Amino acid sequence: MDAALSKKELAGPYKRPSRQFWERTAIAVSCLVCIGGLFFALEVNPFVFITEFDHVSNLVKDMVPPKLGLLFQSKGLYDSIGETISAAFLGTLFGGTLATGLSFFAAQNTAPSRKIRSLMRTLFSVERAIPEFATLLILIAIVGVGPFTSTLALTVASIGFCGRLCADAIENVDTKPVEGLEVLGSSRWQTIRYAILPQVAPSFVSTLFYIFDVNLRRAIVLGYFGGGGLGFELERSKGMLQYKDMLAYTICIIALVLLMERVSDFVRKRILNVDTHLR
Amino acid sequence: MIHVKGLCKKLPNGRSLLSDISFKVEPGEFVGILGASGAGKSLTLRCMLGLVQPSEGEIRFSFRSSSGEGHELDIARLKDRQLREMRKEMGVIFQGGNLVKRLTALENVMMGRLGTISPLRSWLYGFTDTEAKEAYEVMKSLRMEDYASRRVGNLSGGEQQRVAIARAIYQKPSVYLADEPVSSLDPKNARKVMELLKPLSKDKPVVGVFHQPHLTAEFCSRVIAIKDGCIVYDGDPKLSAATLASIYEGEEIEGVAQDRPAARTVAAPTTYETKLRPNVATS
Repeated sequence: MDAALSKKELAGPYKRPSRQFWERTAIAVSCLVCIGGLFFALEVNPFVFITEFDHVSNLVKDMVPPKLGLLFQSKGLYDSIGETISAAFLGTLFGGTLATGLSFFAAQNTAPSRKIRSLMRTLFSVERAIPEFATLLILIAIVGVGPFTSTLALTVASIGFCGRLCADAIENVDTKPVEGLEVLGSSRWQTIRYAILPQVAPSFVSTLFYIFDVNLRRAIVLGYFGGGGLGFELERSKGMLQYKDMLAYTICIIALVLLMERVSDFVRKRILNVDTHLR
Repeated sequence: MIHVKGLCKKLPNGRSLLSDISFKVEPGEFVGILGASGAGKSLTLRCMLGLVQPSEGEIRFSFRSSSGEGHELDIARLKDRQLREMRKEMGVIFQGGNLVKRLTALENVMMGRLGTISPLRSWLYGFTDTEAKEAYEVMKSLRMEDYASRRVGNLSGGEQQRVAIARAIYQKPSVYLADEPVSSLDPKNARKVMELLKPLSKDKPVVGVFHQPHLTAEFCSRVIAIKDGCIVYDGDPKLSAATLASIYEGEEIEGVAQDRPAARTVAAPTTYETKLRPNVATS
């Protein structure tokens, strides 16, 4: 950027390149053509909401009012909320612990060798590429349906993502303290313990809380595919055409996600802000 | 004792950064290395730390380890494990401290002896109470006990630099090496740091890279000046203004005519003297 600027300055007063206008027009037109083509190819028809309005209104009639009575009468609802939260929490705990440990082998400055580093990085990206419900469906074949399966699937799903973020955090560490410890004769593991770990700990904590937020949403989706919890209830009520129950569950899900986001944010700040007055 | 013999460092493209640097530092000496920026003074020190491998020459480092036996090593030829063993005997004070900002000052001081602690213990247990006590004593002796439990990131630059010195002292090394320990500090803190460094040279050699001729003149017992990778002066710390001028060649000299825009070139001897005196008087 700077180099370009200084070149321009050297060239003299700024002249608007005449080509720019046509270039921009061409880009805009081709974007519009692409979007239109996609609409056509996917048979997207925005008018369906108007032509099929009675469908929509019937569905709304079936759904409203949501059967919020479920909150007071069924113990099952709270069980399934508990299942969802604990699947997300345990999945994050197991997967996150594994990932933070493995991330030290995937970061350039801490990996024992270049080969191990690229091996770990590849493992993480392959891992990230597997959709979590695919893992779940395989696991269901092995351990059966239930929240335990979704815990396992979330553990597997967390490793790639969390490991990648943590490894990046380790690579971005300030090297001065590392050098400072090396010159007083500390071994590599000691350098990691005292110079790198204190620096990356806050970003590890943030990453874990972020993964928990993601996992909570994933746990609901996995429930739908047979992982138990709120998603499973949703699937069941949909199957029995109980749309009023379905809307109640959906409201529960939204409330739960928002609430847990607040809670995890609060806890995260509590952990990290031991030293906010520094910043 | 450190004996640097014929130290050379060349870049792969053949440019020479250091050529034939030789000097000897005995216990009781406080050697200040001066030179314009890019002259090679920090590089010399980094070679002595084993952070940079010199192209030629040797650095003989002889010391008595804690068990009492004498050692003599060539730093330029050491490999991993030996290098680590040797570094336990070197107290290093960097510009800006190189401390771990998120840990407390006391923890940073305790890290001085990491080389003698097994990695397993540092992961599973940490430091012992006796270590903490000893480190605290060191901090107390430097009158820093007030901020022992504060995070280093919270401390000012001068305080951080003193924590770094406390760490080096706690390490109980055979030699102290300081890379621009006062460069980032204001004059008052710079003096404080120099006052801490000077007594260290009573029984151990101290080598420091400095940018402030007025401070080396006052505190050091000997000055080595490097220019374009060669030693151009070695001897009495009170350099004449003419020598200083030739060392710095047009560069601004810190502490001499800092706040005078007109004094771009090296000031005349009288200016040097008058500028120096108020500094001494205020301390």
